[in-house]
Amino acid sequence: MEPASPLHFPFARRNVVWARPASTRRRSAAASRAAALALVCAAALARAQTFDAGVEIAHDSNVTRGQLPEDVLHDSYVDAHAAWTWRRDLTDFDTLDAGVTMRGGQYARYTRLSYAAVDGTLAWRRKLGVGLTEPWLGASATLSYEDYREDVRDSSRLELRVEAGRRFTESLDASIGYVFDRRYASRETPDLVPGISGTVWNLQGNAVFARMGYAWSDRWQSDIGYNVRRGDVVATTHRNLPIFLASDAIAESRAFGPDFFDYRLRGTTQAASATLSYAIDDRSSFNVVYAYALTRAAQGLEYRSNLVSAAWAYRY
Amino acid sequence: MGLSILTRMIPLSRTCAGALVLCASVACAQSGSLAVTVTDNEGRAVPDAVVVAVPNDASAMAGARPRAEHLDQIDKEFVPRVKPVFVGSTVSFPNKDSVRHHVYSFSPAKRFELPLYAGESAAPVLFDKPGVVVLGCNIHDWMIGYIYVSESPFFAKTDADGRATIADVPARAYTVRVWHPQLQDGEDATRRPVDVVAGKRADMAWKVALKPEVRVRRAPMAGHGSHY
Repeated sequence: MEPASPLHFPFARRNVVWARPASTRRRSAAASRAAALALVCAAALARAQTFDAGVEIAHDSNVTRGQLPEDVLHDSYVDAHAAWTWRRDLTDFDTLDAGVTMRGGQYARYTRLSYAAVDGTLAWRRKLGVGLTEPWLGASATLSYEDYREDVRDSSRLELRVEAGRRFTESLDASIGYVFDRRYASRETPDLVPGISGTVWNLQGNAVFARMGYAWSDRWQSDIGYNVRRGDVVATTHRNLPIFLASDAIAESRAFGPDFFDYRLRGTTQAASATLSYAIDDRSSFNVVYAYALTRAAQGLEYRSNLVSAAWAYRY
Repeated sequence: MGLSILTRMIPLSRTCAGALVLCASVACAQSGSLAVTVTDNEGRAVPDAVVVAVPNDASAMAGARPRAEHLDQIDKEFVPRVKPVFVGSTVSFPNKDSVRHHVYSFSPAKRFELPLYAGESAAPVLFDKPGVVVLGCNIHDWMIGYIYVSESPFFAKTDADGRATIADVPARAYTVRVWHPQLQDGEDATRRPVDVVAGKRADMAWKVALKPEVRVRRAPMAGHGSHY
């Protein structure tokens, strides 16, 4: 591809071969084994079962995470999930949940962002006493595999989370926590620029969060959340020198049309969300969610996104 | 000889049966009933209201016996939600769910805890003080139940139509009151005197103000992942 922009920088032209080296195959096999192990554990622990399902329609104002107007693209999508959870009571106050989730999303315009995924989760929770307002602690590990239409985005994910919370009244509860996230690209992409990795979708981050929920009535409840994450982020833009200089991984992107590139940067993302939920009955609810995210990275780079969604949630 | 004993016993059993019927008739003839209707300020029926008739003369309660009661856990809820019992009764808490529950109460009328259990393994609990006992489950925050421990054996709970009948109430003067988990003005504000007349039914109606129910919501909320 000949550079069309005045920002000419020496991209080497080469045939791109989507090879999967042994290390990537080992990680994929490890992820498969971990998911299989989670399933076996879940079956072995089968004493109780909760089933969750949900469907969401959402609009993201900046799916590319671009800064310049010509790079900011929006899209809508539908996603759905189904999750099964088995619980084992370890003590009178400790529970261990093992769960499997299957989920998928279909984008309207940029269909290469569409994906299917499976998660395996182990979650421990301890209540620190008897009573509605006793605090609780929780920790969880989730291993996921995501398969995208754009193959370069295929990846395994690991998320480790610790959380502490408390219910203050029947109406009010809050929690805070920390999340470590690690995304392993399933395939290593050859370097587009010598000396700069082409495997953009290897990501890692650390985040802290706080949330609070308040029930206005037996039907209406609202939740607000705030999250700060420091780590790798990916912006997909046209050729962009400042972003290029701040990136530690670059690859061609086919998700948004010609002449788009994925750039991996270190950045800090602040995100705030608000949810308004209406209980249809004891098992299901209708929810409206608004989330705003602001990411700042090196070279003065900054991008924002607004996400609005309507979701139905069900639990049995 | 056996046959002669039998032939003598037949008239004797008839006599005993007849005496029992006579006693029951006398008792019925000496008792009446209370039919109660409870509605809210908008005229809607109030189910799960406990109506208690306390005799002004405590001798009316002589011979009243506590009972063994039960309060189930079904589909992660206490069933029934409101359970009136006579003071001194025991209540068992069978768990009919596939998950374990941890039932507790911190109410002054009865503090107790049944650590995580399944099935019917938990021992019955003795409720030996009048009052309201609020139940919770330490695992499932939305589970709430009420045991109303009555000092009088003459009580009933309203049905879905807000109606209740207290039958076989000895004829004498009573003070009747109503309790409900959402009662706004307190039980004492509902007290009324009534004279129960033998063989007759006394109709009473209450209009009560209820507070909105405050309980942890059971329905799930949609979660949302990160977008960075």
